[in-house]
Amino acid sequence: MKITFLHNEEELLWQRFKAGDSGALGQLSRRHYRALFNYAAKFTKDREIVRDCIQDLFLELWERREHLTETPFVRIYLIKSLRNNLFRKLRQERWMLESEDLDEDLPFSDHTSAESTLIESELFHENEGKIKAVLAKLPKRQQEIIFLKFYEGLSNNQIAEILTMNRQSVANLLHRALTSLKTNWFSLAKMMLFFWANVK
Amino acid sequence: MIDYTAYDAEALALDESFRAWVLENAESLFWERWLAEHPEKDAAVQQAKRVVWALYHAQEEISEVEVDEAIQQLVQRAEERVAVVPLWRQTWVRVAAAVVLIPLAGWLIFQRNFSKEVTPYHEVVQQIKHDVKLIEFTNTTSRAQSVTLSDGSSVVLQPQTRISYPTIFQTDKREVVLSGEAFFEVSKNPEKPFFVFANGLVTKVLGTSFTVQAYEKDREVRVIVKTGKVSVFTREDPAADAKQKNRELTGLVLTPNQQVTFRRADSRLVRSLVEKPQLLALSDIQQQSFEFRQAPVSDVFAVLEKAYGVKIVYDEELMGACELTATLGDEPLLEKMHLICKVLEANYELIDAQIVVTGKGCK
Repeated sequence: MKITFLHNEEELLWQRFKAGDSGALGQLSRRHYRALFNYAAKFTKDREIVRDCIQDLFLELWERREHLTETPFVRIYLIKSLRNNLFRKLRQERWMLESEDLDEDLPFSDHTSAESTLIESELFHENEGKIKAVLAKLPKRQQEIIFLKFYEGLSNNQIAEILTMNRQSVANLLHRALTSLKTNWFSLAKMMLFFWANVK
Repeated sequence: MIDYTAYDAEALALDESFRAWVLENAESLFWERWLAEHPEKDAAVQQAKRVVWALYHAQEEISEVEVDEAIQQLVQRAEERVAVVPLWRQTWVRVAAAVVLIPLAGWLIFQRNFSKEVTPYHEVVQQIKHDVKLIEFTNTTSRAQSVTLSDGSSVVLQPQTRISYPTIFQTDKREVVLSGEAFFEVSKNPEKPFFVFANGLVTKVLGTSFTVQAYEKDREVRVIVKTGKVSVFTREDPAADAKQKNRELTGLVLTPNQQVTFRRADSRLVRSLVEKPQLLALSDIQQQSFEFRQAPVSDVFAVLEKAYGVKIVYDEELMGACELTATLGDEPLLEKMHLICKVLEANYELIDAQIVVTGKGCK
């Protein structure tokens, strides 16, 4: 019952989008906005660029809506398109080094480590900052995979598709990321235990 | 089924089902039982939980307000791209439009200022009073409160909301008058259609659940449907009488997750989908069906108390041990109580706006 209902609602929303209902655009984009933002924000400190890229992505779909046959409002598709747009834009804005290989040179989140020392009095934020700092020590590729796995909840296959690499390499990198997290684990786990005890 | 006993913390953290449990509380029955059967895995599970949780939350970069702003801006930009109509750039069209619009505006202002200023609420109450005795209830508290009508339907009223309803409904129809915002769960009775009069708008239902937002100070009235179908029309509608009498639902028919906005100034009805249902104050009962799996009765009652703003009185010592597995949907409150009591072999009574449950308890 529930599933058919959801399906109908989805269908209806998509029909409204195609018919040019801007409210439907709002609803569809809201579902993905946060995840896309969190993803893109890992590549640049400039939130303005992130916002613009996501807006352009959705506006582009809006303008093409009459020619679309299937819904592009699918997480994987959106992440992949956003990734391409963002890299193109970052290249234009000369935020990057002059290298051919994008993936090696894009900075993946190193801006969260120092921020969270002074301001936050609350334990939660302080710990979040520490976790971010530990994460930031990983190579960018591994950070990205950790994000796609643990935040987006994607399968290795899906991650492989986004990063255009094979599934086995994703699995290997994921394993390597977790192993190197473990070397920092002693401090991290202790800190999180402390945190856990306080939450409960 | 995967054998998780060989999994260490890392393998667990990478497992989809495990993550779903930690982050979304999904498949909790499986994991809780598994953990109970394998107490030796407790340390690994706790560690994996922490990893999953931390790696998820460390990724947040944007606040809810920023998302709202971004979406608003996006929608606005999209609308601008649709709205470009070159014709309007031509001067003669503008002049012609002004010629038509200025007298129209004058007429509208005239209409507004000289129409009688009796509030729609009192007007309708006076009318219905001729036929049947009415009770008025106003929620002056700061929390939602609920009222049960003589046919068993329940109404959850938001603060500053007023409702008038008959002590006993007439034989052929059920009529209530509302000012403010309320969520209705109407007991099914096709022989006796249920009407809500609110700021010039009439909502007609045969048995369903929906919200009406009609504050006197607001220029708009909104009706939002959760389940079933309702029909909506204006009181000024020349065919209003016929629409009220008709057994079928006529007028503008709304289905779940649709809403209608009634602009009082020009009596216009606009139908749309519910944009952000989660923002409604009454989200609990409107959004979810209540699903309980082997839940302690005290939890079940606490949820209902909160959702309906009622007090449920029961012997905690005697009934506290009772467990309940049930899915409750859009039945009115008393019907929900009826179902629960049937399972518990208990009875309930409505005494002074409190629900008193008595039973022999469970062992």
